[in-house]
Amino acid sequence: MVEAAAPATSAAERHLDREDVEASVGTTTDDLLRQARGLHQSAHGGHGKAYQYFLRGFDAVHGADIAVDLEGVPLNEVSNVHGHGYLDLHFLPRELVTGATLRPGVATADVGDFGVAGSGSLDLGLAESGLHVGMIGSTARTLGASVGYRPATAGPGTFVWLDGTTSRGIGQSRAWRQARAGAGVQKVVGATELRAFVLGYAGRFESPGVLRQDDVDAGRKGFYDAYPGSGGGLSSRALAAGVAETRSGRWTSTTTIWAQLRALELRQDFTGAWEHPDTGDATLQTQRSASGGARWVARVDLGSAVDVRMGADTRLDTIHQTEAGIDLDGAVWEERIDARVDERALGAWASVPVELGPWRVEPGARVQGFQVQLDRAVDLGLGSGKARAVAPVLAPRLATALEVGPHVTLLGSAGRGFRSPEARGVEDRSAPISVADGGELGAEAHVSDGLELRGGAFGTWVSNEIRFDHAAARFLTTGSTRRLGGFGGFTARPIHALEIELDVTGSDGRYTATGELIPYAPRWLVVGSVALHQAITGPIVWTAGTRTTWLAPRAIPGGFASHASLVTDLTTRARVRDTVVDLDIANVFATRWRDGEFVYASSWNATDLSDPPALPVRHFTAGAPFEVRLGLGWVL
Amino acid sequence: MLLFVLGCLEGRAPVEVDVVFQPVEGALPAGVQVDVLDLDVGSLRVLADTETYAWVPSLVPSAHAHPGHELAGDVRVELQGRRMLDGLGPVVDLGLADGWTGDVATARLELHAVSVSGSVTTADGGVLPFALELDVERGISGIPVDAVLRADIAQTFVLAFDPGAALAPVVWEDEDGDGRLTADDTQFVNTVVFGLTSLNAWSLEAE
Repeated sequence: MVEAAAPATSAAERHLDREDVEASVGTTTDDLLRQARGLHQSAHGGHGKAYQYFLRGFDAVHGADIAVDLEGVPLNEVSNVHGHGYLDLHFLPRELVTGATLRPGVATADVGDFGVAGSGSLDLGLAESGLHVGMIGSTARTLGASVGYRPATAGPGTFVWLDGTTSRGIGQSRAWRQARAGAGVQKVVGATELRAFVLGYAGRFESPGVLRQDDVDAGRKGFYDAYPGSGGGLSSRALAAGVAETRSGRWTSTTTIWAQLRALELRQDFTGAWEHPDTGDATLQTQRSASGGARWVARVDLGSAVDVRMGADTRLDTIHQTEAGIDLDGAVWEERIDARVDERALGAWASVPVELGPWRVEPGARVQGFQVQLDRAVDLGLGSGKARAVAPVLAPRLATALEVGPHVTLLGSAGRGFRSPEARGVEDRSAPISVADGGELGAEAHVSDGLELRGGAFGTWVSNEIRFDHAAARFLTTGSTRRLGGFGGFTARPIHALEIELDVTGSDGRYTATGELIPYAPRWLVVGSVALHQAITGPIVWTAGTRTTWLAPRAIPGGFASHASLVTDLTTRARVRDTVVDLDIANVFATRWRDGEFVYASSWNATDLSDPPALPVRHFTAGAPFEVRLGLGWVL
Repeated sequence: MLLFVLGCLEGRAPVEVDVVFQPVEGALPAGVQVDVLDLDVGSLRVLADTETYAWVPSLVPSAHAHPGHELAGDVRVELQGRRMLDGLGPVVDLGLADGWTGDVATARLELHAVSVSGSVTTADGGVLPFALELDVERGISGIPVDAVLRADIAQTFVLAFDPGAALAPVVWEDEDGDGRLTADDTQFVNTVVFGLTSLNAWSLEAE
């Protein structure tokens, strides 16, 4: 929002403005990330836990390979006990997102930690001035209310917001409730624009977890049922940030400082009583963290053809995390982890965009260092102990574009992405950084005012894939991998306000030593969407969007494969003067789709506790059910 | 059509395999007569070659934090439950086992207890009765099996038990000199357990 939008580095890149946000299906900010071309999300934890992300052959788990920021504030959580890079956007009201940039691949030097498969940036503000009052209800027995205000004379960065929602959910163990508040101020002082904002969130949620397919087939469980003790959690966050953008002669700089308090508590059980027949396999994970950081980005205009972009950023995280085995009553019977972590990151980067006629090239590099300090009071199997390590990484980046005639642009990029070490796996002086080298060649063609075509190919190579073993608290290497793929699509605007899009992304990710497919990562993702942007019929202004996603079967470890899934969502907004009516329909055709499938042994109903079943069985997390959500609001 | 082509990814399909227990009618060790040979067995599991998971690190993450951290494991077919088998009796159908298509390499059978009685003629012509009821609680691992499980045909696993091979290693020595072989005769007991859990006594064939 503050910084000027950088030129596209990929034909698959997507910029969303507020109109695009309103026409996007879904109701949460997390849903907005689905607009990233080639990205698939899985929600196995209920409304309140971070989604699981898959992008271009990467299983980014809960955000480990996708870097997302809000106005320059990094949102990925380092060394979260549930997953490194944990990316939970439930704290951010979608009404406060004025725009987004979603970039697959890593091409520019500003992208830092967790920018491995792609990155995203979100803009914050209240797009329309006035008093906003809203109410929502849905067939998931959801009730919510919101109120917001932006003065007529102020920019979108000046706002206050408050909302609260409670839902029983459709099916078992899907209830959730949340309260969110936010305020921001935007002011121009001389040549400097100052912005500051605070956001607060508290949520409680149940998690349906997984179901065994054989239980559903036999009628012992319904598709949207859950096992007793399947899980849930508490999540809260307070985030404050200040941003100053200064323009002075040839210089433009943006400085961001931020601080955050975060708490997360997760209960989960994905195997029943398989590992611990007497107590059950449920675990309780807790995370308390205090984080802060600063980011400085500058641009120096050296003439019509050359700029210099540079930046530096740092963050500090202090974390206390625990994990314990709990029984069905929630009582702790085994402490497994009790650790304190101090993590520091410092990065600097520079790039030089050069324009030579139709050709634009931006070479750059980022240098980054991490310092991790771990103090384990308890770590099952490891005992107590301390460790401290420092890890540096150098990441060269290159983005280039060539205009071939008035309508066609070729785009190329290459770059190294990286992920910081996860604290609990750090041994003294040893802290492995995950590094991925990738590149992309693509093209976009503006065939006419009403038709754009895009396509390209990409590849990513990881010399030694690093996975963190949560059970052994150790980094494990699984050898080299490569991901090769391509994408293609079009955007058509046959008539005013109507936009039709189709995007196909294919990715073949394999372990190079064995040729085995990388598990869980989508091989083919096809997305078709239709959007109506502010079409006027009489006194009504319509905004609408529909999106159909087809996900091809995915590889599951052990030679198994998932089912394909097909789901369509719809959003419609009708506005008559100050009154706004929203209608959202999730899973329009009420398909019973599985957004995650896993094959392993579990024991939920075993009668012989001494001999739990060992045969792997198919488990799934049910995809979003058919749900109609109606909203009524006023902008006064 | 395009979606069908794009979506083509062949994974394992579920199968049901009939499992039959078949005692081998063969020669017992010289001088041995067995009246009772009851085997209290638990689950039978047929496993794939571990090479299937060549990419997996030696330490396998658990499912504590996430579904899918738990890997499928090597078990391809499982017949759960505890049952009493007559090692001298007729062929018995043990029922249908659930499983998945693919290669299998070995099997594991849980042996909980054994009851064996009979008599043995000693070298000096005397007759020693024996009677033993033992809790074994041991898995018999590595039973060789070479088969490919398919979903398009009905398949049967024949779990064969050879009493002669099982009793061949037994040392029929009346250590306490009470004129009977019982649980008090350590070498006798140890070699009975050794023989009954020996891979020579068990085999699994696919039909």
